Formats: sequence, C-alpha cells, structure tokens
Amino acid sequence: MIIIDREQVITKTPEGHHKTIGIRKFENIINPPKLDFVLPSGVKLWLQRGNMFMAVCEIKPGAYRLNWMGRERTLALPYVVLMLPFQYQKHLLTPLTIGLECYYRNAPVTDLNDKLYYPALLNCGHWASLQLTSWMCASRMDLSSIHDTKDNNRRLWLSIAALRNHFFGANFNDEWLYAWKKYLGWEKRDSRIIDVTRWEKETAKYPSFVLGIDWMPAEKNMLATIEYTIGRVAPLFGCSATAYNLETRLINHHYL
Amino acid sequence: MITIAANKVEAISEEGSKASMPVQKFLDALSPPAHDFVLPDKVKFIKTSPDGKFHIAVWEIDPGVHSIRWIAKESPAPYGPGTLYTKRELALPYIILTMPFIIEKNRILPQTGKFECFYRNLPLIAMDQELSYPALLNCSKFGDGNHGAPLSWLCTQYLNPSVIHKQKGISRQLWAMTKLTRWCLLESGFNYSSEHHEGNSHYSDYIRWSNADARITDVSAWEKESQKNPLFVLDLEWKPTGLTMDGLLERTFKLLGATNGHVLNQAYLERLVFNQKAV
Repeated sequence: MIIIDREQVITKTPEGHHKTIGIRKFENIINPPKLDFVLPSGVKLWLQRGNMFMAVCEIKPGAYRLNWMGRERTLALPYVVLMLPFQYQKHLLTPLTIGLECYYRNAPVTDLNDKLYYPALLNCGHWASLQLTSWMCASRMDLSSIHDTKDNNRRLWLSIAALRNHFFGANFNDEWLYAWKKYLGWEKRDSRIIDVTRWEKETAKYPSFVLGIDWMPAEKNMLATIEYTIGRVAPLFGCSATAYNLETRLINHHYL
Repeated sequence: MITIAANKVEAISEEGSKASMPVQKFLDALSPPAHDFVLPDKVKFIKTSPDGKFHIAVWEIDPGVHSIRWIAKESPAPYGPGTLYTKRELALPYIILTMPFIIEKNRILPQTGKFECFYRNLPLIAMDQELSYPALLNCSKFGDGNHGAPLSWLCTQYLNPSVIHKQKGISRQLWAMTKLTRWCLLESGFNYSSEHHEGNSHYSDYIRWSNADARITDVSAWEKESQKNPLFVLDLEWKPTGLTMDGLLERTFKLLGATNGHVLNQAYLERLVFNQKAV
C-alpha cells in the first residue's frame, strides 16, 4: 500500500518493508527522466518506455564485405533495420544485447507502423527462450568502450558504433541458422540469394537487385515489434516499461 | 490523503469525500503525452518541452557546396517581386536548423515564427556544443533588446502547413516539414528582406563583424574560394551565439510559452483523482 500524505509518500509492502520518500522523488520514480540525446547517424528512432529505450538503426542498402561461413564475400543487402534496447538504471544507459533484433526492408523506415521483413541472414533467427522472432546473436559484440565513460550521450554513440562494428565484423556462420533456414524453406525464396556464390555474382552485376526481392514478411510491424521486445526484455533486468508493481519500484528506486 | 492499494488509487478530501481511479490511469495522467517519431535522415533529435506541449526537431545539413539563388548586384528590387538573382555555387559549413512544432489532432503545426538557423564547423554530437550565427541573408537578426524574438529567424513565409498535412501520420509529416524548410533556406532565394522587415540579416551583421573573413564578405570571392576548396568554410571563425544547443532549445521553449509542467503535491494529486483527468 502507498499513502501520499502532504509532502511524504509512505510505501508498505505485504512483506513488512516500508519506506518514506519525498513527493519529488516519487515523481522521479513514476516519471523517469526523459533522456534527450543528439543521435548518431543512422538512428531513425529513439523511443522511451519507462526506463527502457529502443534505438532503431538503419543501414543503407549496398554491397558490403561480410564474413560468410569463414570466407569474405561482397554481398548486397537491402535496408537493414537493427533494434537495440537499452536500460537506464542508476543514472547509466546500458545496451541490452540480449534483445538485439535484425530485419530487412526495401525502402527506408518512415513511419512507426512500417512493415518489417525477416533477414535472409545467418546469425539471425527465432530465439525460443525470449520468444524474439528475429533475434541477432550479439554474444561477441565488443562493448568494452562504454565502460570508460559515465556520459550517457557518449555511451549511446559508442554502443551504436559497437553495433555497426558487430554487424559488419561478425562471422555469419552456421551456429545460428534459423533465419537462413526459414528463408530457404520459404516458397518465394529467390534463387539469386540462396546460393551465396550467385548472390555475390549478382551483387557485382547490380548491387541494388536486392531491393527488388520479395522478402519474407514479419508478423508484426515496427512499433508492435518494439513494444513486444521491450515487454520481453524489461523484466529480465528488473526494469519496468509500465506501471506494474509500483510498490516494488518505490521500495527499490529502480529508476534512480 | 491518497492511498494506492490493489491497483486502485483512492483520494479522501478533508471533508471526507472519496473518489478513486485505476493506478495505470493515475500514472498516465501524471506523465506528459509522449510522441514517437521516425526521424528523417540527418534530423539529429526531437526535444519535447517539459509540459509536453512543444517539440523542436533539430536538423543538421552536411557541409558542402550548394547552388544558391543570391540577389544580383544589379537587382532593381531588394526583395519581393522584381528581385533579380544570380545562381551562385557557395560553400557552407554544417547548418543546424531548429524547427519547433506542436501536435494537434495527429497533425504537425509548425511554429514558423520561431524557426532558426545556425552554423557549426563540426557535426553536432552532444547537447552542450556551441552554435554560431550563420553568415546568410534570409536569416534575420532582430533589433537589440528584443528579448522575445528568435536569435536567427529563418524566413519561412512560404512554408505551407496544408502541404505537410497531406501526409498521413506525424512521422511522415515531419519529413514533409523538413523538406519544405530546406526549400525555404537553400532554394527560395537570398535577398534583403530581413534587412527591411526585421532590421538586419546575419550576413550583413557578419560583414560588419571585426573578425569577418574577406572570402565570405564578398560573394564573388566566396564563390571562387568554394571552387578551390569546398571545405574552406570549416576553418573559418563564425560569430558565436554564446549558446549551446541545449541553451538554445531552452530559450526557444521559453519564447513559445512552454511551462515546467505541473507541480506535484497532494492537492494536485487529489484533484486529479476527483476530476478523473489531468489537471
């Protein structure tokens, strides 16, 4: 139970804990601070839900050098949409790579309700434990640079740089085959993509051919995907995107 | 007194009257309305005023040589009908445009009286970075002592909101507003309108500045230098505003009449519960 009496907010939990805080602090807890940053290039959306954030980065279409099954290949990609969640706790903004997702599009993102398409890529796929549909393996993303700074604007820029480095520096291998297998099994799969040697040859001829491919549509649009992912990831980190468990939040001061 | 228990917020007035509402509704009423935008390329961020009423989109245009219609020396009129222009290829540094707007009924309403333009020699990467005045005609410098005016107003008389509203959704309207603003700045024609209507332009002001560079004060020299080295403008000193990005946004919100939002106290919260809406 929470009692607001004049300038004091008293919280009592069923377990017998209780805590008194000032009404100003109460406001900071229920209304987490708005974190406004100058966004790095390519970040198309910076969305806040409670003390959870989502950065949506767009990589422009083009021919990129990727390490595909142990061999460097120059492969054309359409617009790549990478979604990286962040948490804000104890005054620090931290990326949650466990919730990184990757999608394709044939046009730039211009609206929250834009459609997303599954990427025909190794390293991406459905992850059963979090029920994320296009999760991207980020276990080797190097985030060491962010530990040297408490400046959140800088932490955001370094995280986005690490994300791009991870995407282009990753070994696309058969450890995570799900998205690739899903694409190979799709009735509308494009023969120019399913064989990587042909994909490379087509890229050399005309890198924009990928923008004409009918990619496999994801079930949710961009905003629904973001809300869903935040909802899955937030509880793992004791974060809250909604008003649930207000008493626990007031006792633990999760936002401070 | 207010008690929150079992997902219900209950307020009891001093006279003993009671009212209640669900916790989520209570919390929603305490938060300013949030809008999410998909940003057009190079829009670096959107800042919302503390009361949630005003938004400012901040757009950065990369340095480079731009084809500009600049008033001709022999122009019979200083601005308006009859003005003659010469096409000039002029190098410009990073341009920062601030575009305030409000949202009503899912429509963006640009606050064109407060659109502003600034220069920088480096890309904007943080809120505490400083802004300089643009050495441009069409960017108005209002007379000294006019504290209620923008510092570097961009003439946006041809920015037609009905064109913006043809787009569905606020993100796409934002794209349209950005495109129109670019037209107003770089494509509409640079003339002496600001000198006549607002007192001065930042180009005329720059010319009179003691640190002004001769390669800019004469437009032919500027064009010649732009051909030789399109990035020479990034080595020039521009007239400082003395304001950071954050400081400018704070100033603009103040000019627009934004408030710090509600003051949270017991009386406010009780009114909220009794009235069942944000007070």
